[in-house]
Amino acid sequence: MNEKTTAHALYRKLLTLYPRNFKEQFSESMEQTFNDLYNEQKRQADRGFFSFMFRIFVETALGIIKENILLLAQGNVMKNILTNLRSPSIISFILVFPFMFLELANRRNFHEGFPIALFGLMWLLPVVFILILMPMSRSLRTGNSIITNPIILLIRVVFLALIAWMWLGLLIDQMPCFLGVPNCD
Amino acid sequence: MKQVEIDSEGKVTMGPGTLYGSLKRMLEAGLVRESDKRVDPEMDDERRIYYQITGMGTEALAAELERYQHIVTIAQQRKLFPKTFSL
Repeated sequence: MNEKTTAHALYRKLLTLYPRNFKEQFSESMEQTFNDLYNEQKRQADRGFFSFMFRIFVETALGIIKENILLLAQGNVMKNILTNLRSPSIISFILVFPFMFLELANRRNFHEGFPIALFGLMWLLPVVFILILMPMSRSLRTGNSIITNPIILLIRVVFLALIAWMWLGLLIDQMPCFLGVPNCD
Repeated sequence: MKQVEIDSEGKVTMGPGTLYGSLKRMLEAGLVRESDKRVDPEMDDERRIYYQITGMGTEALAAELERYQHIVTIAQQRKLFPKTFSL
């Protein structure tokens, strides 16, 4: 790979860090501009070439940071995150609600504080479970294979199993308390 | 980018990151648009996109220049220019 190809490949890689819309609209033009600048600098002289290239890369990297911050500031990313979190939060709450009800109904005579941390954890675990499961289910629904990257699939399955094991363990452990057994913890 | 460097006597150097970031915001604001004009495809990459100022862009530029002009006029009236500075 010669110097020009390497510089172009590196610049193309750098451009992938722009937000998607920006990339789709301008990355080709930016590559062309980079190409023009590169050729012009090469024509002029080799002296100062590397400092020139360094300046272009740093300037583009700053542009990437700026565009990503602007995107965050517009709230699009936060909006997407919140939209993605809404369904798992609701499903998880529906799952945990019967146990909260049991706790409130069966332990009201024990004058104990409501175990917020326990129910917080019982709610959080299914949220994470669904968030891990969502991309897999989306792939299956759109007809894509979920085993294109077996290592990522394996990691996901391991995490899902771990979360399910923790949640069921917690539930079995706390079930006597939910059912109103005295002196349970 | 070269023109900016020349006009600012080398004080401002603009790279692709700044240029295309500004271009995006000007497109969104309707100040510039993609031009239909293309230079001879045999002489240039035909994928290259050219931009041109819009009517709104021209108006915004005129308003901005007028604002600068107004500030300079006030500065002249109040004799705020340093003695070494001449217009």
